Amino acid sequence: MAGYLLRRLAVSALMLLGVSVLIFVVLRLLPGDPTVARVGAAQNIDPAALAALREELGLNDPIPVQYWVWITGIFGGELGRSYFSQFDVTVLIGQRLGPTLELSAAGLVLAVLLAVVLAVLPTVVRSRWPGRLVGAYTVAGMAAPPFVFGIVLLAIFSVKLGVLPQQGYVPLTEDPAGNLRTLVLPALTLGICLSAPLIRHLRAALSEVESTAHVRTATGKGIGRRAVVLRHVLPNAMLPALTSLGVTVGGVLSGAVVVEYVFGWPGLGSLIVDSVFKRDYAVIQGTVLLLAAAFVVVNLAVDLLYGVLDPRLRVGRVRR
Amino acid sequence: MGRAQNWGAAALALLLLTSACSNAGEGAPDQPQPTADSGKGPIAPGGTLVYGQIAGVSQLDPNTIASGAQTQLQTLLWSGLTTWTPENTAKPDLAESWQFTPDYRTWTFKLRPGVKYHNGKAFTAAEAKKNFDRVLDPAVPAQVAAKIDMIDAVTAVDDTTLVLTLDSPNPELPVDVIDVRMTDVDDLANIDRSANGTGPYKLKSFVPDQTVELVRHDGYWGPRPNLDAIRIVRYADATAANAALRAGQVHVLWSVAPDSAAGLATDGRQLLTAAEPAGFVVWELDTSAAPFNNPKAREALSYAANRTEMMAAAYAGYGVPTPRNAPVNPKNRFYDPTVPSHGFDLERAKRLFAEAGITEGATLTFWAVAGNYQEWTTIGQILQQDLAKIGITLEIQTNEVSTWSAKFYPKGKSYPNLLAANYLSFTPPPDSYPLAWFEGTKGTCECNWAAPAEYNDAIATIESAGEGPERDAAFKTAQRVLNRENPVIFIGSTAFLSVAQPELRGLWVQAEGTLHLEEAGFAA
Repeated sequence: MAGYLLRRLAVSALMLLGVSVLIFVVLRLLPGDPTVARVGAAQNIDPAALAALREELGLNDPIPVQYWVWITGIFGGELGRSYFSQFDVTVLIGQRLGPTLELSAAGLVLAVLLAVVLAVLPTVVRSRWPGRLVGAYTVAGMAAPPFVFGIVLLAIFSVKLGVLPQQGYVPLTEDPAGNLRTLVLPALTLGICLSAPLIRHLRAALSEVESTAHVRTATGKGIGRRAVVLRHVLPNAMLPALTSLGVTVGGVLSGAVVVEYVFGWPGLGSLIVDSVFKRDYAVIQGTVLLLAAAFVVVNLAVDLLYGVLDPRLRVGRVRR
Repeated sequence: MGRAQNWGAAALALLLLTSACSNAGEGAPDQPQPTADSGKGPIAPGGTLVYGQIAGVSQLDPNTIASGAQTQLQTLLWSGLTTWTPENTAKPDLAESWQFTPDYRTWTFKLRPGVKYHNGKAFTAAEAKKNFDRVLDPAVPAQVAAKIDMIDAVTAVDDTTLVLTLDSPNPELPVDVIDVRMTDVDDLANIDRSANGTGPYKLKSFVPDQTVELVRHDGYWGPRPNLDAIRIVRYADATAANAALRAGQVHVLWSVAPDSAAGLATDGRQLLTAAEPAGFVVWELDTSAAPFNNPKAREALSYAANRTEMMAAAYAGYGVPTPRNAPVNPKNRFYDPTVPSHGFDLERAKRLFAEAGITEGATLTFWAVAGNYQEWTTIGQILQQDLAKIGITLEIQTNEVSTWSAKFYPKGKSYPNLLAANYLSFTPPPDSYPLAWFEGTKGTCECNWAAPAEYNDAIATIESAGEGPERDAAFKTAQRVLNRENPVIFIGSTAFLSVAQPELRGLWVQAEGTLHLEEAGFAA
């Protein structure tokens, strides 16, 4: 087990190194100049001042040198500094991480609740219509980009009914009720989008487990349909669905990007989008690396969780 | 088609014609007319004003200001020696008064005593000197440096006396120093956390590109500000911002799209813009590369621009066409109506294009921004249709903003065959800046234009001569040369539109579109 863990950690570290190189190089291949963006493409800026700014930001160094400075800084606990504001990237991430975690957690909880309810419903209620409706929901949820749901929800609950704010963020510590009001629509949008693939995987797993011998035995004993599904089918279907949940959890931070932007949610997503537009390399690099690390860690945790939930899959035991 | 259908079609055509005619006149009755300031009347103290915009504030250094989205902060957090009046003149701010020598080369500013920064540190002439020295440092990307680069020496005589010595005369110095904002230079490392200035409001919190929260500065040296707080909120897009305004979640919305303005300024909401706009919708050209290194090609383009239709379609009538092709608004006292007008004339354009080697089958590129500034693309589409009539293809390319700007910023880039759509904000004449921007050596126009001596001489006169016929003549000469040479094509003059809720008082809009909130408040 320890060996497996070490190998996975080493692979994860190499993956993150690859991501760091990739994002660094890709950013520098993009057209656009951070120094021009920094001074606002003003009509009265002296080219000499731009040159001085390039020098100050280290943008005149060869790309490998720039990468070395950045990557060694990370090992020293420094993610660099924004080209625009004076804030360190760690400070900017710190400003935005809380709202993103809150939105991600709320979206994920909603997604799991929706997934379990909507996947189980057609299995319990043996009628064609629930299955078709859930199927349509799944297709729509997977096909439509998150901003579509976001805009639809905005149009209904904010513009038409006027019951929820369309934008903004109120910290939980300042005003819990206000925080909840601003959270509802973005969390719902994220929850709907994340729930669709979960439902698909869970329904497939439910269908597979339903055809196994022990379920047929339980049914043969005369146990009610609902009890069979909830006690015998669902628990056994959860394990395969966990794979999907792992991917979902890992990707939820990046999935929140668009949702944050649509709802003006001051999280990491909107930080990345704004930084890309401005070519604020340091911020993009630091934030993307953080998201990649989160993805890697969550997937590693999910892999290890398999063993906890199903002793047959424990790596050490299999290898023996 | 049957008779009944014929009658129906005729009736419909008549209806459409009537409708078109009724909307054709200036200031159709259902169009709210913009004003330069918000409603008059008593103001109640207190309250929090929510100010919305779709561009974020990225940083808080007032002297390396990064975008128009930051401009409204300039008068809230910081002060200058002087400040704008609605009449586009300078009035005292941190300087109580000033004197100058007859040759306009030595200016003595008498500063207010007892002024303190938000952090409690005393503001003195020595502090003012630090700010001027920083702005004039070539390594500091301060846009305002171009306006005050004639300053040779800054001397703090005592705590309240600042002397600026110039290497060339400048009768407009009080206007040119307005944008040099006083901040605690010794605390610059903290500016995004403290925004130390001497303005009527001070910083409470700042999340870059999201929110800026200001609270009243009780130690302000001037009149007590009306509001308790101002919250600047950035919206993801125009749809969200407009909906927030309609829902009453935002009190003032800055830079609304012209085609939305009339729809937003309903239910008593106020539509605000500058009294004499000094913003210009332009096409920048590389005059050092083919085909626009040929003056005839530039002139042809100016005649091919149907400015009236463009401003009507893209700016919903909230702008003035500028067929005399110079950055001087027709309402300005230095505007020269005798300069030839480049009225829309496609045949003439075709002939001039041909003389410049741009014949049927040629392709030009129109370079605009994706997502924002749909107005620019609309204007490009009108040009595209017109050029197609004379056999020239205009390929419209829209790019995200960094790609767009990197193509032709800063001065010195080569961008042949390209029309870069842009919006330029100037200060109105008598400040020389809009015209000096083109000047041969000091000007920073991306058009790479080698201005003729006649032009440079005129600018030198404008910059050095005081009020009088010599200076008036130089303004006319400069406009005439720009009209003849067309280094940049000016489509129209306009300023950003803002919409304020009915209860807002005390706001006003500066010539280039900055919304002044320092005296704002809610109706009593």
